[in-house]
Amino acid sequence: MTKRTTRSYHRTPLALAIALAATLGASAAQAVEFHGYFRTGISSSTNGDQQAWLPGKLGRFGNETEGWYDIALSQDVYKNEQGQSFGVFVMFDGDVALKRDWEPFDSGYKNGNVMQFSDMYATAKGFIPSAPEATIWAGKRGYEKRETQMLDYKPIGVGGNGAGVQGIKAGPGELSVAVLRKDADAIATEDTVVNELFNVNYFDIRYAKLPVFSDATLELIADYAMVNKTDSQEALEAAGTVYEAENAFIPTAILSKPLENGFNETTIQATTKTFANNLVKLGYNETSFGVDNDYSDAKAFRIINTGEAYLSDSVIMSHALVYAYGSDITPTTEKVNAYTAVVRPAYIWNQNNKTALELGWFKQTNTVSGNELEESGKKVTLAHVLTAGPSLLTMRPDFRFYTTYIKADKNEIDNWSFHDGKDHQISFGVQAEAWW
Amino acid sequence: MTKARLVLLTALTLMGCAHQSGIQQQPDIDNSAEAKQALSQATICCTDFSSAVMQQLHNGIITIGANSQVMQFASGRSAFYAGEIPAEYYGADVTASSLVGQTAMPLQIMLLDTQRNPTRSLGEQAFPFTEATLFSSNRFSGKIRLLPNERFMVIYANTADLQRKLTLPHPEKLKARAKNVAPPPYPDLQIPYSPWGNVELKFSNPVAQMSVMETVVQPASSTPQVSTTTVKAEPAAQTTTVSQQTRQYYQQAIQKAVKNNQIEQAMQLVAEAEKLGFTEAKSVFVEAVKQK
Repeated sequence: MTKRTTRSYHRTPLALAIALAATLGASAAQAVEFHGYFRTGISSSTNGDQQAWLPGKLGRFGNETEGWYDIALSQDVYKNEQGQSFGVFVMFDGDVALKRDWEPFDSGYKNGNVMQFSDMYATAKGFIPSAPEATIWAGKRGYEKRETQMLDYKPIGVGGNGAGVQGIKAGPGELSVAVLRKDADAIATEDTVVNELFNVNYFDIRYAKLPVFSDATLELIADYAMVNKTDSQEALEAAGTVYEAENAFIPTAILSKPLENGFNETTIQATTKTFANNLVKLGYNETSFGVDNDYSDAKAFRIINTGEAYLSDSVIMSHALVYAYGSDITPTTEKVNAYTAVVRPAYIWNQNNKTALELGWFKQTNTVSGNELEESGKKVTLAHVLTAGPSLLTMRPDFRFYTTYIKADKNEIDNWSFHDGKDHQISFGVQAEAWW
Repeated sequence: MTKARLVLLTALTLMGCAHQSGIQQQPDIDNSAEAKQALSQATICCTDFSSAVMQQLHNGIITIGANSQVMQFASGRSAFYAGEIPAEYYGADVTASSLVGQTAMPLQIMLLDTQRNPTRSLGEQAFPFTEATLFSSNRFSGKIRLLPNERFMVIYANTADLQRKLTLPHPEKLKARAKNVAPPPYPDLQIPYSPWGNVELKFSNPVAQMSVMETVVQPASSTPQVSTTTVKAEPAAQTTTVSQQTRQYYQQAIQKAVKNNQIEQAMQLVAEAEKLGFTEAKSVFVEAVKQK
């Protein structure tokens, strides 16, 4: 906050001064809020450097090697006694490979080093007379993404450049509406290069905080991705040069139940066409729209249950369970069945120390042109965790001293292997995570 | 109170503390129930500040706890820390912060003149809750500009309603905020209020008294969410009183600022005065503008 000089007021007319007096209480600006997150550390294995493998299937604990970061700055730039306010939010995020000493951002994604503005948007609250509790926003934004934390993917991951109204009180819950632009690069059907960016706009409607029973709440989310093609892009589709980009719709229901010091959350999604592949693909996924295959007959369903609960005063258990089913995802991928189970019990020694054991297992079967291809694996991570605990600390560092055994039982979908063609890896490392 | 009585009372108070610390196990400052129990059984040291033991105030953390003096305030019985303001900080600014840990102590401060008579009583609303940042922890905090004649500071708790709880976000929700994803549905933490706590004092701007036009940035006005587990007792009506001297000080400062065309400074003085309970400050300002 800058301190203004008094000089500019030397010729303040009387009327203006009285008007200013009348608005006393309207504060010009609050302090800038600074929040952030990073994970970092060192990792290795008994055979070269540690390779992370499918954290979205086997769990991320002891199965991460890169250094993600977020840096967020925000400020309420104006507030008045009527509850009206303006704010701004800016966030940088990106990744550091954690391999070399010199890892500049411009070495690029292929080297694991990136940085971008994930967010830069402004908010205005209290300016809709019929819904003064609602917030109008516009700009680039990661829009209330829903993360399955243990698996590091986002069942609802809509972000982009948009505008919307958030938090309109409607009946027992809250309504939010938004439109976000998240364009998609088209991939050529043949082994050629096309340079076509399809304009895709996501219409996102959410009804949140709907009481169900006790303190459980339900959130209903509907995303409809509408492609806005040019004539020339339609011609490319008609000629078969690029895959056809079809509008897609994905509804999601999320049932959340807070527990004593924990929670349980179930996410159910069902979709068709272009969104279907998100629900059944092997790697990292969020709500994205790919013009990279023929998804015209695709259908998919996914259910996720995740949470954390105390089994006793000194034992805490986190878990993530996923089942996904897909049919006719592409003309050749006729059926997909995918199971994931990750559990992490931890013994709490004291406020600062716990020992955690994460067990991860998955199996995915893709029926491709009549053949069943299986990908499956398991992971065991043993870690001692040194944490800040609910103390006075303003920053929350969390250290994990870990060792991980990971085994690729079947790799028929992605042909994965660890270094030197091995099907397993024994790794160890120290990871630090911090947020403030 | 005679001098002999005063000496006896002080000695008894100190003996009481010595007895507590020497033989019995100290109640845990992080345990709200133990603190309340200990306070209810504590010996009252004094009925006014003439007999209170005064420490020398300094930058740092002081503790309101088992070894503190106890007396009856308008807001209820409370342990307190009384200290003399160092001469270099007469008229300076002081930021007082009750640090929130396992418990939360609702902070109040009384300021005394050279005769140990109260000049101002700052209720807990002068020390609103301020959420932790990278650079400071969760706290009830406020910045006070000392008046030139204020010499002593009495730091104590509002014990009128200690059934309240301070609601703080679960650490995993803070992590979600830092990563800009929707917060997972963890329940919020409920921090019990306590009559004991640690208070950080930071003196600043020691030359403030040289220029009454210097402004004090008011603390963030965010209010803690409060929940009660039992029927809430009405807090004592008196939480903030403003002495005549304080009124005069702000009245003159506002008039002077307006006279010098320093309207924004005047407005900030009005806001500061209103925060201290001088509710007519705005009228003083408007009148001063009209007369200009």
